[in-house]
Amino acid sequence: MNRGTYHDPRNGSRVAGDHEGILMRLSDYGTGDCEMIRDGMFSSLGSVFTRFPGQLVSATREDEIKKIQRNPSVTCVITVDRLVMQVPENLGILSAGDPWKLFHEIAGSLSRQKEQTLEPFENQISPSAIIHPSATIACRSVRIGKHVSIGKNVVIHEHTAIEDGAIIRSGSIIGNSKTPLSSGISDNDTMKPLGGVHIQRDVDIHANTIIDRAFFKGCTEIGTQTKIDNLVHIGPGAEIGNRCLVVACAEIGEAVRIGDDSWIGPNVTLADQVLIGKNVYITLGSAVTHDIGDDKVVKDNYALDRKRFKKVMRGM
Amino acid sequence: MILQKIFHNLKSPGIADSWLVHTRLMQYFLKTGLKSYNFLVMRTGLFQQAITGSQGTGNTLDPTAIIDYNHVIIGDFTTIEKNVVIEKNSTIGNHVLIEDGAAIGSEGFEFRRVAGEVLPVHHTGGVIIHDNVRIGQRVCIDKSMQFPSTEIGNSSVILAHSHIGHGVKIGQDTLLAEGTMVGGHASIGNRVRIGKDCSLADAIIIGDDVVVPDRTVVTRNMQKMIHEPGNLS
Repeated sequence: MNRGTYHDPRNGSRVAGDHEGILMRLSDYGTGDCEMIRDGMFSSLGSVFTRFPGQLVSATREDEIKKIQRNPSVTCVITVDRLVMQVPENLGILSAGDPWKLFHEIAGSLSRQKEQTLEPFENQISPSAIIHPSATIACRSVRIGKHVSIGKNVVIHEHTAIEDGAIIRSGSIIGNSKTPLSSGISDNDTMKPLGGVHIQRDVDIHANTIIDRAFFKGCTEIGTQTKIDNLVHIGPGAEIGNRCLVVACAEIGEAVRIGDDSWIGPNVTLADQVLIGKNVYITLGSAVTHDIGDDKVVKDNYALDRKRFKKVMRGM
Repeated sequence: MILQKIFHNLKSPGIADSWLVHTRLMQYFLKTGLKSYNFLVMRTGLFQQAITGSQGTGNTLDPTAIIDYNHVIIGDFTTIEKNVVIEKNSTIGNHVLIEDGAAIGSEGFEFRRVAGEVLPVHHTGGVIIHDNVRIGQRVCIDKSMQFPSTEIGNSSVILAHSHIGHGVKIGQDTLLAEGTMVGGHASIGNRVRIGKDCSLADAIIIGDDVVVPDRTVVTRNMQKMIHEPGNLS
């Protein structure tokens, strides 16, 4: 690969300029209501799961710090006061009252630099796709595969790739690029995200669902044969595995990873940067704020082994 | 009705967990059966029951609303606002108000894990909305798998961002506040009040005059009023 450009194979786009070359100093951004603990250099933004070289991440919980300790590509961390002591010594630290807000501000100011925007490409829409005339599709950088069905009042933003056989039903918004923390007219309104949305084969997205664009490199991924019900919101940078079922009114946070064959129940809330394993069953109304291993049942805030849960339920 | 019984029996844990269903031959049989059923529903009129559409007088229908006029019955003095989507086999009564962005009669959430694949079950039912009902912004009401339809009784109010699953029956004078999630095949009685952001599990029965506080998770049948919010599981 040419070192000067970053090529994204999934949607054919390309980030012009050199990500690895531009090194930024953390102290340049440490203004306002934040405290500089240790200075450091970074070249890109990411989540605790991504492996971009020299990345800056944000952490608000203890298990996020544990993930940073296992991720060698992290060089700088924005965190809260009580977690400063747990961060490894070789990393740059910025302590802020609201780490996510500062992280989004840095993302906004970086994205305004011209060399870090995604390069647009022409729309590639298959002639066998069925698109309702009331749907709105961005005029560039959208790829739609064969036999895709797009329903009424759907809005599809730039840098979205939809693979063969996917169905998007009425009122859904794909590739929404507003971050949840931008209030009113602020700097974040002019933010240009570096990522996109990638919807794989045979995905079914029901009515009034919103899927956000990733604001750092990479895509918000929806795996093959995953089905998403009405009124679900999927945060930027989330990766959902294959054959998952996400039921109505679920709220999936930023950069969440979900394994294959999982069931995310109705009205479930997943916190930011949480790792959900394979074959997990999360019951209705649960709020998940820590990592869940494989084959677990989550009932409100408790995690149980799935086989044991089935035995208990049969005994009742 | 026979098809509905077959689907219902296949869903019950006695059959779904038995070793016979998980044999390779049975899985192959179920997979081909479900795929051929979906094919027949989508491509032919064999299992389809379509109602013929009609419109009453005095209706206010916004031009941006997308309504399948050939298969939707609309009564008198009904108001339908901007960007509403009303799909096939819906029946809407008199003096109904449907607010912006609502999706009525969209496909229900019914999937089967067969032979390592997730297969959909296509829906052929409909939605019935009775008189004097108010439906808020961005509410989703799914159509039932087969007839009888999803039903919302007289003078009920469903506020914004609520989800009504497939095959739900809601009685008269019932109020569902913002963000309520009602699972499939639930049955809600008359004069019920359900608070904001509640979750109701599928196939539960809620009796008449019940009051459910905000943010409650309901997983058992309820016949009387409860006072404290929280998890009832």
